[in-house]
Amino acid sequence: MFSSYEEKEKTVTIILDGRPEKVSEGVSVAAAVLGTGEKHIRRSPVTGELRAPFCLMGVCYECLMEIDGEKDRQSCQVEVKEGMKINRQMQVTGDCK
Amino acid sequence: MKNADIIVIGGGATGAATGLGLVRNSAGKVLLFDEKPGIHRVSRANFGLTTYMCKGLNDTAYADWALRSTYEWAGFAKQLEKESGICVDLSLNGGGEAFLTQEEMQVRVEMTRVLKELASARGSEYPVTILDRADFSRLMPKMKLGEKVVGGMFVKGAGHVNPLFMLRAMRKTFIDRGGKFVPGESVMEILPGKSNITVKTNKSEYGCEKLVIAAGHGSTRLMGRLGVDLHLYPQRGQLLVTNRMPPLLPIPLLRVRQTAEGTFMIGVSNESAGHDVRVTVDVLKDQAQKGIAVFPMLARLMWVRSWAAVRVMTPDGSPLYDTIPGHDNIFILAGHSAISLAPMHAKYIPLWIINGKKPDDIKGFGLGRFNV
Repeated sequence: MFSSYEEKEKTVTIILDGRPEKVSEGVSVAAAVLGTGEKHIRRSPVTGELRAPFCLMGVCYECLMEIDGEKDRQSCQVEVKEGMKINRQMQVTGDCK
Repeated sequence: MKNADIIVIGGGATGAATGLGLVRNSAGKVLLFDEKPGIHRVSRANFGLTTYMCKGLNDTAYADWALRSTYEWAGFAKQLEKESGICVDLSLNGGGEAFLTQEEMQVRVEMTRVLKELASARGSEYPVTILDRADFSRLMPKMKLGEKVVGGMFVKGAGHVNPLFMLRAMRKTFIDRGGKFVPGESVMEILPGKSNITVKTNKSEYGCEKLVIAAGHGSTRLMGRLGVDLHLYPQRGQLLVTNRMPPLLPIPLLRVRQTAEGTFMIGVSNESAGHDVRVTVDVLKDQAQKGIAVFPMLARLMWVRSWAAVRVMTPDGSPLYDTIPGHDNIFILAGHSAISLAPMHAKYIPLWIINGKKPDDIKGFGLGRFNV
């Protein structure tokens, strides 16, 4: 669906949902994940609907992903780093107590 | 000069509800003016409660008006959703508030006692129950209460709504039923007249037989030029919004509610800050801390955004519905609680405007009470 307009020489490897993916250095986690071909990155905690990054500038909070063990990070505001562990939030968990 | 039968100045919750009621009652050609973007839009900043809780402590007529409005909400929303095709996310499972100290609880107990007495004296009811911690907790099985919560209250029949969808639905229905929405014009001058009122805007000139002014704090400026003091004062409120969560909190509290979209809205602050709509760190911190004191899980959520807005307050908190001295074709509608009172503004206020006879139940909400 998405492809890079500029093939960068340098890449880093991230671990996306447990599998290694080579992505361009210097891009946001949201852009990197979309670049791997994933169309959705989470489900709405309310309706279970599939969601994807939207504004890519820190406003809409649609791009929430688990990054290095921390849930609900705004992935468009985080730069990819070598070895970063990223999980899409495809499970709806209502545990709050 | 463009002509209309009735012009409503102010496209917020009060003006839109009244305009909607006017076109539903075939009041002729109705124009609804809305200011250009950039001015305060308090109708887009409120919390969205539909309640009678603690209203009318010094005014039993207002307590009655607010209770009746709450009971009208189900029918009002049903009709509005049918007409507009827009879901307004109304939930009427009741409302409430948590008490963090014994003193807070005592204040509410006393308020509830007075309001119950007033209601029974007028042959009505005030269906609010004070609960101990255990009973209050049972109202929200998925939420764990903080240690400091000593009890709470349950407000039967109250609820909450998405105020943005509601405003959109009212405006859309107003337009669909033949009303004309006029956005982006500022009213500069009003020239009263017995049978024809002239309204000058920054772009054009309009004539009408009746004029309804529901412009919030803007009404003060418009009426001041006619020598009328509305006695409205600004009161700032600030709130915070979190990220979305699965449905956990089934009823809205005064200081915390979970919206249909899953966000938690936190905040019930009152400040005297003129017309400054900036948020402040100290107030937001206080709101957040109190919210977390009620529901510790809030501390684990993300604070997504916050905003402030300036409430339109009358000296006694009751609404202001009146005509201007010497001009019985110029109507003024002002006050806080435009969401809770929207059903009344759509149903009864338009009838008063159309037939000119002020109903007994709103006679006490006139300007005269401030001029003593």
